Amino acid sequence: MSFLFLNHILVLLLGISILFLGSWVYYSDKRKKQNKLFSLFSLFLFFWLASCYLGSSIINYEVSLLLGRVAYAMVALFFIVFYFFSLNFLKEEERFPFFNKLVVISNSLLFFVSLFTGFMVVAMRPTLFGNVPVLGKAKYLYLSLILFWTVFILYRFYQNYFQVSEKQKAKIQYFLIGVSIWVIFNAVFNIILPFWQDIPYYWAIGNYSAIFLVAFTAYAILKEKLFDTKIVLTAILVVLIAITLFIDIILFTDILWIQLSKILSLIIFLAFGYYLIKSIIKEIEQREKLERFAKALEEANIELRKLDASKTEFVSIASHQLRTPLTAIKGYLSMMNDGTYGRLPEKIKEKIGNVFESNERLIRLVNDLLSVSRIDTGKIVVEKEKVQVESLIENLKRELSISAKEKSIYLQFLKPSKKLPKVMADKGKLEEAILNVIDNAIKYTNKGGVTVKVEKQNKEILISVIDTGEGMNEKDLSKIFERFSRGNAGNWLHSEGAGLGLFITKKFIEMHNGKVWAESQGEGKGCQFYIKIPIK
Amino acid sequence: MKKRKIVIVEDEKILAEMYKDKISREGFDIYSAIDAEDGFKLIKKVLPDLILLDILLPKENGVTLLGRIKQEKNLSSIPVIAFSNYDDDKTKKEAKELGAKEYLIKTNYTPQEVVDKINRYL
Repeated sequence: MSFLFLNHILVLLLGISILFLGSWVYYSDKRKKQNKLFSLFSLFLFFWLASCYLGSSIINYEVSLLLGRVAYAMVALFFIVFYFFSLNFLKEEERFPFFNKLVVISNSLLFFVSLFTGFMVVAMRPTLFGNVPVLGKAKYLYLSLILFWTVFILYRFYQNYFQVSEKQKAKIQYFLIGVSIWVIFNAVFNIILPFWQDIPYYWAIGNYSAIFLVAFTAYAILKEKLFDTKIVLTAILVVLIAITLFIDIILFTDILWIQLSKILSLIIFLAFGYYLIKSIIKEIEQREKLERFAKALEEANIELRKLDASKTEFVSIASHQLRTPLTAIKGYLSMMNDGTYGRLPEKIKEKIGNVFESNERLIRLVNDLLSVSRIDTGKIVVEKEKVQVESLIENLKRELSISAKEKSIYLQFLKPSKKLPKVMADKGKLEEAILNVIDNAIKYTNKGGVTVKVEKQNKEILISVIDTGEGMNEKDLSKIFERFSRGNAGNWLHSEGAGLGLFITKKFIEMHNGKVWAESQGEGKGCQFYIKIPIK
Repeated sequence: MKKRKIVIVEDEKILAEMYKDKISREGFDIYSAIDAEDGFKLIKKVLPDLILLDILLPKENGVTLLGRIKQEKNLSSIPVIAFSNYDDDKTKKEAKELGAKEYLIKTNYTPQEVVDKINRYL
């Protein structure tokens, strides 16, 4: 197969590929200016290539000379569109109004000089490699201007590369790869060799490298929409095979019925090719959709964490701010009641006591809300130490005896006969957990009383709080440890609690790898609460 | 008998007055400061028998001040009760590690109970 024949095939393939890519980008989004500019410069590139090829291969001298001049004129026009395409790609169209005008003026001048005068292409010289242009006096001006615009465009891209987002960087990268390969090829085969080495024969190679410019730029434009290397390569493969089959039908098949069967095969192949590309596109769309969801989820997660952190900070600070006036109220009321400011009449003392109790209720509510908030955000730190559970319960009994006495119910603690082993626990949290359970039992008992027991069961300590109070039905039992749950009795008997105490108990005990549960034989039959915590 | 000296570092005026009132009635000499810097200067000047230290203070927080107190040779042995409505486990742990005797949540204690704590550590 001769060089010329190979050249024919190569030019045909390049021309079709450039037109194909130009159309593909245009039809992917006709409204976008960038896509229109790309299609236009692909078109000029095609004409540039076509006129170079035809100019170099046509025997008729006059036609060859004209086509040589057309080639150089097309380069001038190509650079105008390429300039505006580049600035549009970088969103810098309005940034250089002077250069916008200059490129049109200078390259229009080059177009006229190249096409209508002999200052650029003086003649066409036949060689072994086809006709080559003999360049005239305007060649240095022409070269300087083309070089200037090339450098300007590349400079804008390189400068933008370091200032844009990662996504935009990827797009610019592809474009830069394509432009760089094209510039290098053209620099070597269209400038260095012809101008300095007087070797013009390989000018076509520089021109053919335009395929890299077009292919990489098309990829840069289309990648973000729905295209992937997979699709591009599959499409290129399908097109190449189709072209090969077509060339085979036209050039290498003489018998009609074989031609017809090959045409049928080509049509079937194109149909399969179309569905193959379509299914790859769908697969990639799905994958990209999933990636977008994953990214959105990740961003939402980050946002939620930020909100969560803000909420925690807000609750901490709000609790602190709420507690300040409550502390002052508690402090002064207690000082009034304990006689610091002199003896008070009993009636006033009683009322002050009521206000004090209301204030204590508010304090407990704030404490509980803060605990729940810290539990929800995982901000609780468990500081374990060796704790004697019996001593803890003794202290709680002393603290809660007053409440029990006021209700004329008993509160008894059945201490074990032998001292129990100490447990590894956060003393403050364990105390709060048990306090909530005993306090709850006192609250819901009006007759009889509350009995607290503690014993060792294998490697665990079991604390039982048994009351003779209102009891619970199955439904209440199932929800008693949920937040804001008070059960039926709670709704009409005690409206003061927020229903957080047992929720906090459960969470604190779970932090100790323990378990808490409640049992009851029914309404009016009392309740039994159990807390189990491992000794170690 | 010489009166025991207590320094309270508290930026909330109403609370500072309340504790000063109660503690002075219990027979102590009480001095107060409203921020960490004034507090540190006061402690160095007065050399109290005990320090009641709020945690959420303007500019510099109480934990940092506690650290500074414990680094000063002549101040490090003074018992410090961290005293705040800021209920944060991490801060409590930091205060304890720096040598605070206790970390009390103010709303959980009446002024009399605070005095009982002071007597316990003197």
